[in-house]
Amino acid sequence: MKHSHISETKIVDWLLDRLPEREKEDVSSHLKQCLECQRLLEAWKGIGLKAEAHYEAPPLSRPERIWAQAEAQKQTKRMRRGLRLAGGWIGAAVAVFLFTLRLSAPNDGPAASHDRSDEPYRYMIVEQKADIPIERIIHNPETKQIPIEPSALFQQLDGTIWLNDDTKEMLMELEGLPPFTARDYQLWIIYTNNEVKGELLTVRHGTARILITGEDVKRFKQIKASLEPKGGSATPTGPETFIVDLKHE
Amino acid sequence: MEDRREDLELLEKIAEGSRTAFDRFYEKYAPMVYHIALRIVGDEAEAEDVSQDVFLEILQKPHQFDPKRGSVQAFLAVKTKSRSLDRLRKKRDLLVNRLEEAALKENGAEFYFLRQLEQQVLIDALTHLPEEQRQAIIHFYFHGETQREIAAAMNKPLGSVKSLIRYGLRNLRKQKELFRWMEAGRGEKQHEA
Repeated sequence: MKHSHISETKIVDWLLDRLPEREKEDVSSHLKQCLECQRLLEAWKGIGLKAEAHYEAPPLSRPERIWAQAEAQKQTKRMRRGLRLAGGWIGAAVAVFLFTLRLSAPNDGPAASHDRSDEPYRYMIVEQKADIPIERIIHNPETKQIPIEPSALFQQLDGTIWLNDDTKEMLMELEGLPPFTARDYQLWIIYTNNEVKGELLTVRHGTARILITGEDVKRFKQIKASLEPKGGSATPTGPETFIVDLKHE
Repeated sequence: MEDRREDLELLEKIAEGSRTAFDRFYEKYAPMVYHIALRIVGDEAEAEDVSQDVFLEILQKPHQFDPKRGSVQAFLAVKTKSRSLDRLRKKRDLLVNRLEEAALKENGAEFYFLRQLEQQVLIDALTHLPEEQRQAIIHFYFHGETQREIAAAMNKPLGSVKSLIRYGLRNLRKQKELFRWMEAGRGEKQHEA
């Protein structure tokens, strides 16, 4: 038999005496026979929530600070949108220029391409914040969000990978990376055929953001990171920071 | 009823961009929000940050509130609890501090919320602990057993169980020292047994 509990909001309203009489009686009778809801109620009582309570105001926080923060965030969003728009126009102009150049060039040799199938790795890394279309990637309905689970030694690490096979993009954000003077964080890309490619991570104020684009993204099987001697290693040697399995569709 | 109507009106005006409405809303609920955050995270500066996040969210998404689900006050209380737990998830030092405080109390009702954290958050952190310490912590925090019940199940005196929990938490705290050791490139971490 399915046992349904009362919503937490309703339990809090019951405690604050904000429920209409009928609902109040329903909640009271449920509480009498449901240990789990009783515990939740006790927890709320335990932190001192009650109907006629007087709480101390937060010592430093001020509404104007929150207002200013909201304004600053709006500003940043506007700037990002502007940059994206400008980037789009510049990109289009460059594309037209290259197309014209190609038309006017003699057509007697193979076209140079970064996507040549004989190249071992076909991806590009973008690390500059302004060049990464974060919101476009994150809000794309085809983008998968994969939380990063840190290893036991890096518990304060928090991060996410956004993966989109359609646009061939992988965005990764990390925060809580402790700085080490004699070591660098190195990212390891493990391909479906178990090839491994290392890339140094640029860390600023404990955070790193990296966008990888290109054909190869679809062939990434795992992403992991480790601490390596300055300048990086050819293969992983240092303690592992995290490891993430990328599940492609 | 009057109060409920006022809250709805304030949220409507906040959605329209009214600074006065936001100030009034803040004045009305900031003390409660801060109180809940402080009781859960146990640190004034962090509680300030949580309060700020909660009100920032209200300012940016005032239509999140659904009057069918309950009062604005209850909505804020539950949201504050949720944001406070998020903060504990992100800041492991803070979490270990709270767990230590909980370990010293036989029945701290307010620590019930800590059990709502994803078990994985703690299980990951527990993997390197000696077996008995890990077991004591799992029974205490995840199964909600009292220290007396754990003592009976583990066939140990109550004092030993309290020590196991405390040592376990202290070992968790030592994980911070591991970073210093790696930086200096020396030493090996030892657990207290």
